[in-house]
Amino acid sequence: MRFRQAAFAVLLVGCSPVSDVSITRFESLEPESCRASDVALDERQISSFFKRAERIDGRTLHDDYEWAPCHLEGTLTYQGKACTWYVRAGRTGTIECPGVLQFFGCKTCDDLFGGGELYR
Amino acid sequence: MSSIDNEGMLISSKVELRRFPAIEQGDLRSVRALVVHQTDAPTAQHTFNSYRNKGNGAHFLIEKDGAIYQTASMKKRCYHVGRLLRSKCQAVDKSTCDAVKIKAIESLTWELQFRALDRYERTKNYPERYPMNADSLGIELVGKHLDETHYEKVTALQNQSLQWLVSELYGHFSLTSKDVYTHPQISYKNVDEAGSAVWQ
Repeated sequence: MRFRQAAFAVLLVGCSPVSDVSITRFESLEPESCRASDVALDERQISSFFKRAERIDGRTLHDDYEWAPCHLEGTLTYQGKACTWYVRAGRTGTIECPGVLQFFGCKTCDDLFGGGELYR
Repeated sequence: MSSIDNEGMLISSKVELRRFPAIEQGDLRSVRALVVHQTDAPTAQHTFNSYRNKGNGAHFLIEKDGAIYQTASMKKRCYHVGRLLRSKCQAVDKSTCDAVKIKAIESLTWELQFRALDRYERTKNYPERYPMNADSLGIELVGKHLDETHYEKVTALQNQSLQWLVSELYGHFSLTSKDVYTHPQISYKNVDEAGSAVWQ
């Protein structure tokens, strides 16, 4: 019984809290420098980004990450809720569920963004 | 009218001195510019708490009610600008850029571009480039980061205090309004940080 409970807990931890990812658009405030190819992730990679990224506060986002002027955005299900998301070329993201905005940063996601080592 | 004492502190009845040595990072040899920021904190006290532990910070902090605190000596550097400088010639007057160099940089991916631009900009002197930690003072305004592209609006009392502080610093360091920047103008930060700050 104890083994089954432990196995279930491991299964829960291993599950991504993100599902039903859909990409709705790409936008750039500086199209000459920040292009679609700088944030060319598919739905599976967006899910992987949020699984690997750490939740961070706004101060950490500001101090430790670069704010890229282009992003992908879309919808997903997060912890059972319908939410919207952004992922920026600077390896940052947000998930906004009704009434709650969470910031994410990922310093180990270089492979998802074409392999450059942005924060190392 | 204010004065600056031997410790680099601004002496005036309008400024409360709350110096945090933890955010001072070596000597600041010249002040050529001012950079206006927002804290992403709800009160000045939240920022004081973070200044006890963390290396990043700015020289002044203005609370929502307009209270001005000096949090670091103006003779000391603070880490307030960020790692990578934007290109001033690209933003202000592209004809002043090295056209060949900029064309080569613009063909790179975004992350390679911003590193290359930073290296290129650091070969210049101010005011040809944007200010760095080594030649600028930072002024923080208390205000929360709301979402991907918005910060809280700067209050009228904060703007009133900012205008007074900036005009005092113009006099002490021979600066003009051309030497005042918001953080996202000079570095890769949320575009609305200090976007509603008014200093002239």
